Amino acid sequence: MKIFFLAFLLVAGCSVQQDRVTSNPPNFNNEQKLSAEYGKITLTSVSIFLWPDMPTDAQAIALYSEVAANAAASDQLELQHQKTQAQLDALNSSGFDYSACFKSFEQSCSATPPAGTPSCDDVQLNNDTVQNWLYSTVDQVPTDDLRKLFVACRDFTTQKTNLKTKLDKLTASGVDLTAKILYRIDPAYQKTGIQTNYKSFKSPTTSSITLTTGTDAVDIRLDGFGEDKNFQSNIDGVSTCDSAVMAGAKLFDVAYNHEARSLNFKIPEVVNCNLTGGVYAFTLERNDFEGSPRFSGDLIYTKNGISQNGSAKMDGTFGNAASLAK
Amino acid sequence: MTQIKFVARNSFFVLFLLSSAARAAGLFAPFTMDSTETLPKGIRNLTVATFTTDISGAKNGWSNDKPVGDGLNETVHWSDLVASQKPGYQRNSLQGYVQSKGYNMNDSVGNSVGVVDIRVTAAIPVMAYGITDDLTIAAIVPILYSNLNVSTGWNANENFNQAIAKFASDGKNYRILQNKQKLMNVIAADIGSKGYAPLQNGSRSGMGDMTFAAKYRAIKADNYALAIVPKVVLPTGETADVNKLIDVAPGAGVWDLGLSIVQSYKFNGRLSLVQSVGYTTQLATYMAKRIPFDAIITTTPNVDDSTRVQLGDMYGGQIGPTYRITELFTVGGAAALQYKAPDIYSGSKFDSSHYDLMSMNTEQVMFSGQLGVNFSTVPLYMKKTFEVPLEATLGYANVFSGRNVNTTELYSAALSMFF
Repeated sequence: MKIFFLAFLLVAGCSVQQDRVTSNPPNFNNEQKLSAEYGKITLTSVSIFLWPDMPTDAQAIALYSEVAANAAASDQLELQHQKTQAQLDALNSSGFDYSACFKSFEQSCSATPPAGTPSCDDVQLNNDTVQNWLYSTVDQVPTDDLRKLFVACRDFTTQKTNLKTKLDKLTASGVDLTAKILYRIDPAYQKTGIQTNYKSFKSPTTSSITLTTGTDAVDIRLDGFGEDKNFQSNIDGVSTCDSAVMAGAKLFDVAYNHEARSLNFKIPEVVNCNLTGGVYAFTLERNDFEGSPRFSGDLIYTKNGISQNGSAKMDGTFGNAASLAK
Repeated sequence: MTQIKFVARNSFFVLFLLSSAARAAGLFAPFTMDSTETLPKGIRNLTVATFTTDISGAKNGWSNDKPVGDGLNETVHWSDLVASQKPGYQRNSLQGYVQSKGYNMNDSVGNSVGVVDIRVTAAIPVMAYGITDDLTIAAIVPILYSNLNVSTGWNANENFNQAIAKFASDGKNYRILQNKQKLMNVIAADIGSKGYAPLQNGSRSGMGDMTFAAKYRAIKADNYALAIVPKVVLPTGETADVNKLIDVAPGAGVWDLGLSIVQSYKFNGRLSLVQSVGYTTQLATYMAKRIPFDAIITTTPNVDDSTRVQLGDMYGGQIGPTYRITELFTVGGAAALQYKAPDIYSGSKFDSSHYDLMSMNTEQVMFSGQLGVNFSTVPLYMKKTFEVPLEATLGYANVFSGRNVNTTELYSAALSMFF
């Protein structure tokens, strides 16, 4: 009888069939292609800050959301600025077909036109008025070529002026937005106007991150993080404070994962050439921003067992690692 | 999500000995016929019954069957993905970032899917002894074996795939990859973030809650009999693991006290009608419970180790005929109607309104039926033409309608010997 029941249990237990369900998790095949994988990245712009303590989750979420939105807007401004600058540069070096007329006509356009004649900005300007104006202003017999040249010259001047105006506005907006972000992330700044939790480098352009072809090796050199006199690197004997070698200032736990494009490193905090015991631990992702290399991500500042979260963004330009002096 | 509280405790009643319609922490379809019969004085009886059933879903009404895994089939929102992150900076910064991209936390990112199969098989030894010709006592020790199969997945919608691509181009690919496993299975991520053990196939076996019962035949006339059946159920079975989202526990963890009254009318030598009513009260106890914070989201990270649990009292009745086809074979059928009052939970660790949420959908109504056939050698033994007094019974039970009760189709078998 015992055997009968055991057999019954086994048969019953094994009779259950595994059901299947359809599952379509998200696609992860959207990795962005990079403009370049390896080389020396000279930093051009760095933004590193610690988040202030937020009393509630809701306030923290609101702050993160606002700063992220403003940072994205700042990127867009930067993008527009770059494009506008490129347009202006292109205009200024566009073969200069108008060189023969540029100087005289631009000056003429800038000058007050004779009374009763249309101005350069007159949108109703037509061939006849241009001809008349040219005749009266520069005392030349206007030819068709000269007339076309004048119109092109006027358009060029207008375009250049517009681009310069746009650039100025973008720059001002960028400054405003940056100030807005700084204001929100630093309560002390709100009171005193002095940033206390915003970290930058003395000179981003003398700071670099070098990725070596075919390996996960990375060479980091940061000039003036926290204090102007600091120079910190993960290379032995390179870290200094006030130009004196300071072994304890060396970056540690440095690792670049080529597959994940993640860069981790820790910066020991140095103040007045002394180690404070504080450590900045970065977890950044290598990415591109409009064709230029960018590292962005999070950091955690830890001191005396207390941690504070932060964010970091480092933009740079690629150069040839071999040709750039370290 | 679905928390299965299936406890087939005290679910078998010795044929001719015990009868009660209300017989578990939650209602369970009766699968044995009630009876007013008792054992003769000094006679012992050993019965081993077994049943097997698939727990396929929960029934609400006559036809509205809700699959057991129905709670796993849910729309997944941004808020669910955010909630799967570690509380604090990780979670808040992700939510802030997602919101900065113009997504609403209530926007759908897809839907989760899940299928759960549960089979429960029990072996139930029952020892009975006739104190007098009208008083029989019995001990019931159910042994339960359960098998759980779970399949889960989810279908991310196009909006979410576009968002993933956008985040990746935004320099968040590393973050995405860090969460890839969570994004591959949102159900696992969700329950994992709330401290539940991973959902996985498995089986468990163990002793259920023991029952001690007595049957006193108070009236015995030519065509009529009445028996009174008190019982006590001990919380000897292992209770549900608070860290398992779906657990088929052998025990309920509470003491039960019950009383049934069984009547039988004999129309002639072959046909009888048996009717019973019963009441079982479930005593309050304290145990660890997950305390929900939302009426819709039943998964919760909140655990109160000292939750006061007052399972609802149960009432029930059963009626049905038995017909002796031959000297050795008897067939029977019965219909049962049962009711269980809502469970009541309380505690001091969380707001009382959260405990109240646990009472939702715990009130139960069940209308079920059963058919059975019994083969007995007792008449032959009495004639001394067969040496061993044995009985064998095959049964079938089904739940026709109800509210908040498991849909069960149950097959049972029992073998009894007298000595």
